Amino acid sequence: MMKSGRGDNRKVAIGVAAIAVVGAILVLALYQIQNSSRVTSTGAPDPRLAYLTILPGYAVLGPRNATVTIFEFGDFQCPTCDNWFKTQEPQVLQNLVDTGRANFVWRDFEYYGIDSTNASQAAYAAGEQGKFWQFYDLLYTNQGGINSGWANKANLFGFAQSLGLNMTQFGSSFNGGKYLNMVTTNFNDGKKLGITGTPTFFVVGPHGKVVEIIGSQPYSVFQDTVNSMLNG
Amino acid sequence: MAPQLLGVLRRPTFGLLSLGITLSFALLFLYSDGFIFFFPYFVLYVPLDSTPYFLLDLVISTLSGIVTSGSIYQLRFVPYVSSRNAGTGLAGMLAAVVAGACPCMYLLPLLALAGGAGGVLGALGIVLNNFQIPIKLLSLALLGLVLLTLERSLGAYCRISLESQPLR
Repeated sequence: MMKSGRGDNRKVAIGVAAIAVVGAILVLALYQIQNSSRVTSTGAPDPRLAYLTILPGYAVLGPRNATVTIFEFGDFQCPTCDNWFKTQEPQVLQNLVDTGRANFVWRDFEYYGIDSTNASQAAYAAGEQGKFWQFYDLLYTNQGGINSGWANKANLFGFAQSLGLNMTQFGSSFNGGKYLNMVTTNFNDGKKLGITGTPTFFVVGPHGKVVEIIGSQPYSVFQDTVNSMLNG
Repeated sequence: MAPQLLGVLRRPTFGLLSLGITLSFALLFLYSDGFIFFFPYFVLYVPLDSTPYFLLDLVISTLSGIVTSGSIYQLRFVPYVSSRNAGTGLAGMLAAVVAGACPCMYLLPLLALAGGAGGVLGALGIVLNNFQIPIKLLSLALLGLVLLTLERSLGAYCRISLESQPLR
């Protein structure tokens, strides 16, 4: 029996059309969000440089005095960060960092909750014993579902133990919240940099040039960016 | 006999509408799933292991475009038609949008950082993220179902119209 009124049909038609319009608006909004935080590097120094310096506590891969620095803002629970780690990072490290053309600095930017914060603090605590990058590899390699418990305290201690860390020192730094301030600083810096998602990369080159790369973008983008900075 | 929906899509207005919706949805889904990037320059990147997701996004976008313009045609030109089809199509598209937006590395942080209702939506997004593929498949099934029923109802309407012509 077909007894739906024309009013119902009109409502559905409006709903369908609205979905299409919302889709289009969302695309434009996403584009705008990505675009909004860009600042040209001509003229005045880029204000983002104030938050893009290598501080003493940061783990750095590659030569500390490299001309180009690639900062990654990531979250150990972020699937997209994990994807980049597994698919693109090896090429970036092999071709850009190991060759001394750039260095690589990882900074945390957590929004997935307490397990993310704890994972970052644990990584920094491991870094105190010279094993930040091993811990970093271990975390991404073992990444599970978001907030599924894979990065809870017990597992973080398990990772530390598997790396042969001094557990007394690790426990003291981790439980004492020694790196909580660093995590907070990174988060606040990230917000000031206009980060809207992870991973977000900032490639800092000579003459204060900054290029922002959002998402798990292919190696070629990093290669082109670093090349243009070194050749420009 | 050519499918009725094909006839609808051959009309310039509905064909363009379908194309526009397909492109909008494709752009949204591919951007959300990290297949296209706009900065520092435009990049379309499909890792080999993500090809099924990429194809799923394209199929859902195309179906959304066809179903939307077909539904609008039906509502506009076919009298006394049930709104159930269009409603199901709407549900299919909503499911596609939800599945597309959930894992979005751009949307979740914004929601999570917003606090309050945004935080709740962000938490919901994290939960839904684990069901991204089932939701997308559900969306595909709903859109496919609507496509079939739409085709059937348009065909039925045409038959009735022809048969109801007075004999001369």
